[in-house]
Amino acid sequence: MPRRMMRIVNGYLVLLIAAPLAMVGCDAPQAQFSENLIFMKLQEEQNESFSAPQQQAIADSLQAMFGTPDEPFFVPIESLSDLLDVRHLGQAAGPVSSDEYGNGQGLFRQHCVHCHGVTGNGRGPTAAFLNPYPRDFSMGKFKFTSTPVGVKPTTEDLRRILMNGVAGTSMPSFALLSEGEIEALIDYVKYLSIRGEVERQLMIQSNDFDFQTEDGAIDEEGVASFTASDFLVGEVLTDVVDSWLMAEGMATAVPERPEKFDRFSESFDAAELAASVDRGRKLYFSNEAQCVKCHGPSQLGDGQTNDYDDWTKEFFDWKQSDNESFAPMMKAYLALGGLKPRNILPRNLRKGVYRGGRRPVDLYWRIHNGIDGSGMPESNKAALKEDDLWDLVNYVLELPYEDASRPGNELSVNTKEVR
Amino acid sequence: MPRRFVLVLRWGFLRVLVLSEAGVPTDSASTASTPSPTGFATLRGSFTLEGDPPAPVVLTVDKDANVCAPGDKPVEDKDFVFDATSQGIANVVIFVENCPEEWVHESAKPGNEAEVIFDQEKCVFLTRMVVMQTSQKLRVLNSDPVGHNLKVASFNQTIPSGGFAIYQPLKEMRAPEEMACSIHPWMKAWMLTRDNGYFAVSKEDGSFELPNLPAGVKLDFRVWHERSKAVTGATIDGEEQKWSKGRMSHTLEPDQDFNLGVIKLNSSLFN
Ligand code: HEC
Ligand code: HEC
Repeated sequence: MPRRMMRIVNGYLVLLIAAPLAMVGCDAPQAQFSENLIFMKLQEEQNESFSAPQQQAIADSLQAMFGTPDEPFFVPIESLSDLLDVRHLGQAAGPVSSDEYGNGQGLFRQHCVHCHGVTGNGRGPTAAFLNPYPRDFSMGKFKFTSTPVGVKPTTEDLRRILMNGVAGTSMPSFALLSEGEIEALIDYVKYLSIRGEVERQLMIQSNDFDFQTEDGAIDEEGVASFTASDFLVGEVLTDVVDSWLMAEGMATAVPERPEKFDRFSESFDAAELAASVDRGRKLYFSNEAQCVKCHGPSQLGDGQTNDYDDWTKEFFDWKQSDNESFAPMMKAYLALGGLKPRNILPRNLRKGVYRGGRRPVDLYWRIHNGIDGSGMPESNKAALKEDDLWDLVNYVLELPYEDASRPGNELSVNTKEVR
Repeated sequence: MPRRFVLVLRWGFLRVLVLSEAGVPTDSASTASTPSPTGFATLRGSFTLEGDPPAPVVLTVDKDANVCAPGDKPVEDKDFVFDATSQGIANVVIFVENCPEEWVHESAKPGNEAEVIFDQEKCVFLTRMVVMQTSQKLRVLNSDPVGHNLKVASFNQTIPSGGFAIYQPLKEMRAPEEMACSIHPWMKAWMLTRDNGYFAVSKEDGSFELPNLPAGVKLDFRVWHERSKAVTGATIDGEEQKWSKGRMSHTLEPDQDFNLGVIKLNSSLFN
């Protein structure tokens, strides 16, 4: 198996090891990252329980790679400067303060922590009262990206989210922060997300590993040392970091929107736009696009409303709800901090509120790529072409102004009985 | 004091990375001479049930009932496919976990590009357990008169009635991952992608066959079923086997056709 190894900048090494030493002695209560107990329980359901040394080894490895919320750290891997600026971590983390020039410190705790939590697991103190729930960064999944499903957001995507907020949700815009502060927060989101994903991977791999002794018992020390092993930790970290680096080049290229559809352009053609909206409407109900299935025949988001998002499905398998072990199991997950499951609802498209942005390009991305984690699929690549997608975008943008009583198309594909 | 400990650990971590960059082997396993296969062999057997099959799960069909639950009959999940005559359990996956590419027989080398067909009918995925090589593409079809979407790993695309989509996996999986449809959320199947071709899924009668395995080297096999996840034990020839985390190991002789025979899986695994 080919194993990539990370290159360390030698000079850094001494500095990094010396720095924390200098700070010993400060005994203010320290903020702690919390363990992902839900994910741990999920692993335990599949395999054995985590032993105390094993758990400790995971915690120690994480701390060695990422430091603490007060003293964040990033193992100096070769590609680190392409990923983030380590100085930003210090600026975004720690307790809130500012220097004599008004440069803020502790930005994440000042602006984000009550919703997203110190660990970035989306379970800050106010989270339970919000709908939708704040994002749990630890899964490494984001919704409103320019990249395809399964690919991380680009730095630009995160910037857009922080600048615009998520319209129609409690996620505010931070456009009033300085550019430098936004940069710091973007890097801190990446840092928290990478840390969260690495923790999950360490749990999976360490719990999957087999350390049985002759008599069938588990060699706990063996598991612990495997879990903390430089090889495992290095491999896991590289994989996650690579997935972020790769994303930067993977934004879906959006072709120029034809100018005839742009009301502010000289080439705007009202008749052309109307024709496109009409085609978009047909597509909405069509077999090729399937929008009606989820967003409903009157576009109110009342089609398929019984599904759950990926963050919920991770611990909540509602298909098992008839099983007698289901209720106690749910109780256990909620006790570990899981948020009460709520259905993911397709958007009511008549409101004209778009969480991922309302520019035509944003909607093109949503329809072309789908919305990761929500179930909204990407458009079928064999059936829908660029022009079709613009027709759909134009239709969606026009929907809030359409008469709601306009009858939906006949639901031809739904009504045929098989046999 | 914990902080001290962390520093030591951090130092260890960095140092080893620096060393490995300089080409110093740090992994004791890599210094020992690696064994190489002495030929090829076959492993076969058949998974059967000991005890009563689990009660079938009735699905909640809340969309397109005329297609998905024709005649309003209750639809049962196919999460446990059991053949009462042979007592065979279908859809048990068995694959080789530890197999360096040098060991792999020509017929199972990474790089196979044959397409795998995956269809759906009456809102049921026709293959419950899809196992394929990472290099293969999945051609997703839809023989239903209603549209679907297929959501698995890093893929979620609409599949029109009569249409298709192509999924190219990004990487090898350690364990099967769920396949789903968000329009019909009760639909379910499982997918596993492996770099080499050493995998099998048990047939209706529970039988499986893994040909062309490297002989003379210790192979770790993993056994998995969607209801039990890891299959952690079995009874073969009256002897109880403990498969920690679903692993069993065998070293085969060259040209051996090794038949494990009837592999009894206790029903408690599937509850
Ligand atoms: C009042 C609560 C609240 C605060 C404060 C808040 N967020 Fe959020 N945030 C949310 C919610 C809710 C969502 C999920 C929106 C959704 O799913 O549509 C979210 C989503 C996000 C996302 C994910 C967007 C995506 O594409 O998936 C990022 C990144 C994010 N927030 C970063 C931050 C940062 C950084 C801060 C502080 C500068 C912050 N948030 C402050 C509530 C909040
Ligand atoms: C499988 C169900 C499903 C299908 C099919 C589907 N959607 Fe969605 N859609 C959703 C869900 C769920 C959301 C809400 C996602 C979220 O923000 O959590 C959504 C959100 C949206 C949004 C809002 C984006 C934003 O930024 O707020 C638009 C626009 C949209 N869908 C358009 C479409 C169009 C056009 C089609 C057909 C090509 C379509 N959808 C097909 C489920 C679906």
